[in-house]
Parts: sequence; C-alpha cells; structure tokens
Amino acid sequence: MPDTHPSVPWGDHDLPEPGADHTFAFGPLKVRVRRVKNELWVASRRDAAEGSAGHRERMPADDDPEWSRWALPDQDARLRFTPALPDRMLVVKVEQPFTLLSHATARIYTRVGASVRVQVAGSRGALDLTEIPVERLSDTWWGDFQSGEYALWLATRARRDLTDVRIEPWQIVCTLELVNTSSDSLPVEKLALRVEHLPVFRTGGQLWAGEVRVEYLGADQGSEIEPTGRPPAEAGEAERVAPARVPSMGFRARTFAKLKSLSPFGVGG
Amino acid sequence: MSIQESSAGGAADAVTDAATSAFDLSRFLEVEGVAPLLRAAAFVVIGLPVAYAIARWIRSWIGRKYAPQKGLVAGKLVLWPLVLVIVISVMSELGFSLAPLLGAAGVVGIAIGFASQTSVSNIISGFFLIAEEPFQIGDIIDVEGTVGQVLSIDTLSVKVRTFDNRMVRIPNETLVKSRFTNLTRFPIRRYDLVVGVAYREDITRVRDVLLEVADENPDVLMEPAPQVIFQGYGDSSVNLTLAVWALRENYLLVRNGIAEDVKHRLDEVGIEIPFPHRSLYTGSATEPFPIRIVDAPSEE
Repeated sequence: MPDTHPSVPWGDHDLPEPGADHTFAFGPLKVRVRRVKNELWVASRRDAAEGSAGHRERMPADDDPEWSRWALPDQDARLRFTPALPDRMLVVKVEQPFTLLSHATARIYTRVGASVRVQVAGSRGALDLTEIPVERLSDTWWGDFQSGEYALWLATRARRDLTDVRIEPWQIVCTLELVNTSSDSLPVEKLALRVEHLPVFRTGGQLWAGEVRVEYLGADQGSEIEPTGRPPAEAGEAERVAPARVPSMGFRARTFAKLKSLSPFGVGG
Repeated sequence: MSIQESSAGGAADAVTDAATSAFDLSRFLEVEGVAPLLRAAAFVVIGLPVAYAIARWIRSWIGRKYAPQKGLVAGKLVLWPLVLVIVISVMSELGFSLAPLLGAAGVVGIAIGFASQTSVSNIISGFFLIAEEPFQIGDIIDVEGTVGQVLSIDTLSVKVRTFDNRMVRIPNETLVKSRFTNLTRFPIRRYDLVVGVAYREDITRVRDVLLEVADENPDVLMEPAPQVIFQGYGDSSVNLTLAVWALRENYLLVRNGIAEDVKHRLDEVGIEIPFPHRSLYTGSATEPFPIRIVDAPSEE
C-alpha cells in the first residue's frame, strides 16, 4: 500500500514499463529505477545541499548514473521501499553535553536519516535488492586502538523533548531512556546507539525506532542495554514496518565515552 | 692401536651381520614370507591415508576453533608421529631389526645433525612463531621491504604473496631473528600526509582547510580525530602533517583520496605548495647579479 505522505514514497509501487524511468525522492536522496527487459536497474543520487551530513560526495551525474542491475524472477512483481535503521552502530556526539547525576534519569531523542531498503515483492515473497542511506554519515571508531567497532558518526543535540522540532518523513526518531544507577555522575558527551537491535515503527508518516533503555552501572561495569522492542509512548499505536536486524532481549556493553577519548596521536586508549 | 682397529672392525662386522640376518630377501620368496609383505603393504596403503585424514581433520578442527596456523601445527604434530609409527611398523614387518639401525643412526645422526642445522633451526623458529603469534594467515607483513599477505606458516618457512602476485618464501629463522612489521594487526591505521605551504600563507587558515578536507572525506574516521601537526620550517616551505585515521581496509583509499583532495582544495583556495627556491649571487651576497646590456645586432 503506497504511503499517504506525498513527499516520501515508502511502500509498494508498480514497476516502470520496460524502457521507462521512475525517480523517487526521499528527502535529499533520489532513487532512480529503470526497467530493461526482465531486469530492474537502480541508481541513486544524493543532493548534498539537503543532506544534513554535509559531505561533498562524488555522486554520479544525472545523465550518467551508476546503475546496479537485477534480473527479476517475476514480471508482475511490485517495487517496495521500506525504511530501515543504519546497518552499523551509531556513535552519537551530543552537541550540548550534560551530566546525569547519580540515580537520575533522562529521556533523550535523536534523529537519524533512514536507509531505503529496495525490494521487489512477487509470488516468491519480498527479495532485497539494495539499501541506500538517505544521508551519508561519516565513519568512526568506537573502542581503543587495538579493538573496537566500526561505527557511524552522528552529531545531535540529544533533545529532551520534540516540541518545535521539524522531523522529516525520511528521518527516524530514536528514543533513549538513560538511567544512572551508579554512585558516580555520568557526563553524557558521546554515546553508542546500537541501532541494529531496534525495529522501526511508523505512525502518521513519522518513523520511530523501538525504544531503548540504557542503565549505566558504573565506569568499570559498562551499561545494561535493553531494547524494549516497542515503539516509544510518543508514537502511540505505531505500526512496525521493519524488524530489528539483530533481535536482542538485552545485553551489557560500553555505551558512554568522553569526547576525544581516543588521542589522534595514537597514544592511550 | 691394533686392538682398537680390531674392536672397531668387529663392531662393523657385527652391524653388517645383524643387518644381513635382519633383512633376508630369500625369506620373502617363501609362501610364509608373503604375509609380512602384505601386512607391510597394508600399513602403507591403509595407514598413510588414514594418518593424513586424521591430521587433516585435526588441522581443520583446531583451525576453525582457534586459528588457522594453530591448526597447521597441530596437524603436523599428529601427522609426523603417525608416519613414524607406520614406518617403524613396516620395517618391523619386513624384518628389519631396529636396534642395530638405531645404533647406526646414532653415528649417521651426528653427521646429519651438522648438515641440517639450518633446517632444525627453521623448524624450531616455526614453533616460536606459532607460539608468539606475531601474525596470522591473511595478515599483511613487511619483512625488510618485502610487503605481502601471509599465505601459510610452514615447517621451514612462511610463504608470502606480494601484491604484484609473486610468492616469497621467508625462512622461519629469518623472521625470528629480524624485525618485521605487521601492517594489519590492528583494526585502524593512521596516515600522515606531509604538506608544505609557502611562507607567506596563514598557517591557521591552512590548518583549517586541511581539517575541512579530512572532515569531508567519508572514509576518514571522525574519531580518532584528524589532526594537523606542525613539522617545522623547511628550506622552501612551512611543513605541516595532516594525520588522519582510517579503517585498515580503507587505508589505501584514504591515502590516495586525501592526497588528491588536499591538492585540489589548496589549489582551489589559492594556497601555494612551493617548490624549492634558490637565490643566486655573484661575489658579495647582498649585491645584485650583474647584468650588462649590449646592443643586439639588427635583423636587417
């Protein structure tokens, strides 16, 4: 069922007629789809001016796109666009850091550009073709110099409420419930958001990630991360549109770090 | 002296007699002699493949569970004793008496020992390499200028595939003795690009431009953060180093990309990358180069 929101074409669409092109706009991302015989060709272009990441990407020109091609099993298949969270952990840099005192709780919201999962849905079910992030986020590293995780970098204000915030229909709102149960104060400067464990919900054209509760246990003990698997209360009766990539009931991992915790000179860590 | 010669000659005769009596060929031509021959053949035909199969299974299992090179060593540790047992069994079936052979082997062993010092050293070095684990199969190492990917850690040597697709055999002993670098041990690497700019340029502006270039390259890691380090005043330029971090898989991509991006951006914003300047003087350093203007011949 096509989405009712006019600007973001999530949902199912007819395949283009053979030889024809269709372009679908997801905010700064334009996905171009062409059908040639029994093949589906997909190309994408990102408008740097609209992208919040602000990278000057080397994108192919409109008249010479870099096509990816798939031979289709069904000629009467439907084209499907599904929102997904990034496939890697997000390292969220809080632009206005705050301190969570011992036994305090904070609910913060952060927005991240969705990835567009392109599928064809036919008699054999939905087949994944590709995933294209609406915004190109920078790479970063979470850990020390010898081991860690390859992650994506997201600078955010970590808002405490969503009033007066313009949320684009191609953005997913992640809601974190931070709880400091340790006896130490917790500076919230940079945190790891493991989005691969979160499903995506939609309500009224707005996308929400499953709520996650992060309990800080102390510097040596890390944090208890509990993806609830449910939409946040703010999303109301939201419909689940994408499952978590890696379903999880909860686990313990390092979540908080100070800014510049890794020296650029390669010492420490 | 004669007693010693007699004694030595007697020992040699005893070894020869023992070997002759131990290996009597005519025995195998009799019907009863066929049975040991068949058993010996069975040891070879069945025993060796079974030994190899067991060693292969051990290698595969340990390799999967721990590390490929540990699997290789475990496989060999299982294979060699099994092969030795088969060889002894075959010899025993063929009627060889091991005692005189071992006696003779002691004498021969000394000679072989001298001759095989290097090989033994390589074998022992191989075990050190496995135990110390300075690299694994698949790592990229730099051994005295030879850079390549480790294909295998064998009994005597390490095989490395260079990037122009040559196979280089490096004796284990060399690796134990010499200094080498494992380029892919850690998941992230730093690339340092030295940039020289003209003395008239504003260093603060140059630093900002370089950091912008790093920030805009999506393969450069945001953390550890890019850094500009002042290197010094050179002969013709102020030298700065742009240090950026990348995932080891993206290292070459960043190395090539960032150099290209920096050149483009500095050209774009009009920051000069100078080439060496030389001022020539004649005589006194402060006096200008003497120029004499003479009348040129007319073309007419």
